Amino acid sequence: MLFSSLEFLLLFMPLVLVVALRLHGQPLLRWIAFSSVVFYAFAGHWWFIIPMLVTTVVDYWVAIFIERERRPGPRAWLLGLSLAGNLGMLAYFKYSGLFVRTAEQGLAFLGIDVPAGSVKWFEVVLPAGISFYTFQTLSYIIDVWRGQSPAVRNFVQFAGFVSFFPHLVAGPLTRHHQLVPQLGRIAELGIDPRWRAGILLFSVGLAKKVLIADRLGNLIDPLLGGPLELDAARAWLALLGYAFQIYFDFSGYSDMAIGLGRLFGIELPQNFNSPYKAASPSDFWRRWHMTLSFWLRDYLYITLGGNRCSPARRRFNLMATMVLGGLWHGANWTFAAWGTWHGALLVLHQSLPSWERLSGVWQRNLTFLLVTLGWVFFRADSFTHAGQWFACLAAVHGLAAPWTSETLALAGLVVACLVIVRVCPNSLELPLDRLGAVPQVGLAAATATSVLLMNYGSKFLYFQF
Amino acid sequence: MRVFGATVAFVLAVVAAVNGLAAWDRLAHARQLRAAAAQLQPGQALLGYRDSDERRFQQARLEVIPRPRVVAFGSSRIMSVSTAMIGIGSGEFYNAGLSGGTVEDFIVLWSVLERRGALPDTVVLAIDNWAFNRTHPQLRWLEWADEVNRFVDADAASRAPLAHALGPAIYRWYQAKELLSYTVFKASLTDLRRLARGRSRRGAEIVESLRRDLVPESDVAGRRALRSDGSIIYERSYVDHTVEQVRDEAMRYAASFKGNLGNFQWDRERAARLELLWRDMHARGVRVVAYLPPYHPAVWAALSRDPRNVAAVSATETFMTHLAGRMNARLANFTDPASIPCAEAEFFDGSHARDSCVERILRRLLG
Repeated sequence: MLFSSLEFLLLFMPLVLVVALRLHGQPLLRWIAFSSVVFYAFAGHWWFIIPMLVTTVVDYWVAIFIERERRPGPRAWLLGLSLAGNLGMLAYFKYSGLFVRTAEQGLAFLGIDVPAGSVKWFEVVLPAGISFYTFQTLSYIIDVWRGQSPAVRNFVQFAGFVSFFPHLVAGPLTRHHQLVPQLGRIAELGIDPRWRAGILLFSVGLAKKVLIADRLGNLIDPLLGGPLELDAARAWLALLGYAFQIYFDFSGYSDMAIGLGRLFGIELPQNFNSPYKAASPSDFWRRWHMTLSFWLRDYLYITLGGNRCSPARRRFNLMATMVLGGLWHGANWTFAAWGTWHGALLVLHQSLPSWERLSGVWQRNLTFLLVTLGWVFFRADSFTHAGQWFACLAAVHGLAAPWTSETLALAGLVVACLVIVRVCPNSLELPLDRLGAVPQVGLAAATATSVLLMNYGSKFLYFQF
Repeated sequence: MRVFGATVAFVLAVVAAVNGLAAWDRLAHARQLRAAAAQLQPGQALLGYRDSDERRFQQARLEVIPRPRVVAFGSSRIMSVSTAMIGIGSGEFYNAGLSGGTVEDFIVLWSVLERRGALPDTVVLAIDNWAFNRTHPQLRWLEWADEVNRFVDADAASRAPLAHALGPAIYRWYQAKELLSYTVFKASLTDLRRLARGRSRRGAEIVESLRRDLVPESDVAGRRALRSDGSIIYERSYVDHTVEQVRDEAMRYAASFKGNLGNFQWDRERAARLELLWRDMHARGVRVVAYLPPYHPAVWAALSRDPRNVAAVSATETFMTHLAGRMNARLANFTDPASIPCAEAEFFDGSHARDSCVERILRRLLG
C-alpha cells in the first residue's frame, strides 16, 4: 500500500486513527503493531511479513539474552547470531542475485561455462523495506551489546518500533532511542495527534511526490530508455531532472512519514535538510538521507576507526563506508560506483584545503554539480549505460537538437526545481503551525490535484532499496 | 486548517460530481450502445465501419455476443481473420481486432469477457513487433487508460490477503476510485461540453450506423464492412491493388516509417502489461496461441538490412519466447514472410497480409 493511494488515505489511515484514538496502554500498541503488519502485507506480497516477524522475534530475544549475559564470549556469540541472521537475510533477499551474476561473469571470463538457469533459485523478490528495518534492529542489538541501551522488555512495544508503518518501507531510518520511548509514552497517555502539523506536512510531501517527482519521471524516463544517443542539452536536462526527481520523491516520502507520525503524536527524525544547499560533499551527507548517513557514521565508520587513526586509514574508512553505503541502495555494482564516487569526493574534500577558500556560492554550486554527476551511476542500469550517458553529457552526440514540447516542459520543471531547492526553506522549516489562509488554499489545491493524479502515481524510488 | 480542509473537500467534491454525472450519462448511453450492438446478427455485415469508434464498438459487441470459443486480439493486421478461416461453427469465434490495437486494448476487451464470465477456450494473440517500441507511441488506447489501470491494480490486489473473498468489492472500489481520477475528469469535462454544445455523445455514430447500415453479407458489394464475428471485409479498391502498386506502397512504408521499428527502445511497461494479461489468461485455463505477424517481403528485406531492426525484432522474439515458455503457450515468429511462406502477391500493403497468407498462418498456428 502506498501513502499516495486512495486506499491508504480514505480507508486505511482513517480506520487506524479512529481506533487508535479510543485505545490506551497495551491494546494501543497492539493495534499499532497489527495495523503496521496489515499495511506491510499490502506492500507487495503478503509473505513480506514473514522475514520481518522473524527479525522482530529473534532480535527481541537476542537483546534480552545479551543483557542478561555477563560473560563477553557468549555475548559476542549472541551478537554474532543477530548480525548473521540480519545480514544473512539481507544478503539472501537482496544480494544473492548480484553474487550469482558476478560469479557467472567471473567464471565466463575464465572460460568456464555455467549452464543458463542453473542458479535460478536465487532470483527472489526483495521484500520492501528490508534494508530499513534490518538496519534499525541491527543498531538496536549493537547498542544493547555495547551497553549503551537497555533491552526492550515489552514485545509489543518492540514490534511497534520495528514495524511502525509510517517509517517501515522507506524510512526515515529510526533508531530505537528515538521511537521506543515515544511508543511507551503514547501507551501510557494515549495518542495526542498534532493534526495541523501532521496533515499539512503530509500534504507537502504528497505534492512533492505526485506533482514534481512523478512529473519529472514521466519526462525523463523516455529519454533514458534504451541505448543513449542524446544531445548534450537533453542529457544534462535528464541528469538535472533525475537529481530533482530522486530528491523530491524521497524527501516527499519522508515528509509524509513524519507527517503521519505526528498524527500519532510521534516525531520521526528529520531525513533531509536542503541537501542541494550543501557547501561541500561532507555537508551534503549531513543533509541527504540523514538517518542513513548517521547510521553509517555510528555503526560502520566509527567501528572501522573513524577519524582517530592515520590519514591513510581514515581515507580507507571513508571509502569503505561510502562503498558499502552505496551497495546498501541496490544490488548492482553501479551503486558501489556511486558510493565510490562519493567516497572519493569526501576524501578529496578533506585533502583540499583550498576548497574553503572558494566563496560560499561556488562551494554550493560545485558541490551540487559533483553530486549531480554522481547520480549517473545511481540511475544507470549498467556501466555501459552510465558510460553512454557521460558521453552524451560531453556532447558526443551534438550539443542541442531541436527541442520538443516535452523538452521544454522538462527544462521549465528543472528551473522551477532549482529555484525551490536553492531558495525555498525545506519542508520542516515551513511555518505550518501558522500558515495563512492564502498559502493554505494553495497547499490545498496542490493536495487535491495530487489526489486526482494519484491513480497514475509510480512507486517511490526508495522502495526498491 | 479549516480553510485547507474546506478547499480540499470542495475541489474533490466538484470533481467527483462532474465525474459522477458524466459516468451516469455514459452508463445510460452504453446501454443504448449494447442494445444496438446486439442487432448485428450472423449473416449480416455493418457497412462504413472505418468511420466509427472501433473501441466502443468492440467493447459493446463483447458485452452482448454469446460466449465465443475462440477470440482473436490484435491490431488491424488480424482483423481479416474470420470464422471460416478458423474453421469452427458460426458464433463460436470473435475477432476483437482494432486499428492500432495494442496490449492495453486487449486488456480492456479481455476484462469485458472476464466480467461477463464468458471466457473463451482459446485466445489468438497477434503482437506487432513495434508494440514494444517506446518511440512509436500508440496512443489510441489512452481513452480507456483508467480501465487498464484498474486491471493492473486489481491484479496487484489479487495477491493480497483475502483478495478472493473480496473480489467483487475490490472491483467496485476501483470503479468508485475513478470518481477521483484526473483523466476521467478530463474525459468527463469533454463529454459534458459536447452535450452542452448540443453535439452527440461519443459512440452515437455507432448506434446510428447499426440502425442504418446493416446489410446481409451477400449485399456488401465491394464496400468495407464488418461481419458479425468482428472480422473485416475490405473494400474492392483496396483489394484490387496490383502487386506492383502494393510493392511501391510497401517500399514507401519501409522508407518512411521503417516498419515502425525506427529508434527502437524497449517498452518495459507494455511488456509487463502483456505478461500480466497472459498470466491472467493462463491462470483461468485459457489456451493462448500467439504470433508476430509478417511484413511484406520487400519491407522485411529493406528492414533486415539494418542490424538495429534485426535486433529489435530479435528482442521482441526473445521476450515473447520466454513469456510463451513460462505460460506453456505456442508462439510463432512470422515477421519474416518467408518463414510462412507468403509471397508478395499475398499482401494488401506493407504490413497487412491477404486471406491466403493469413489462412496459412492460422494453419501453422492452430493446426
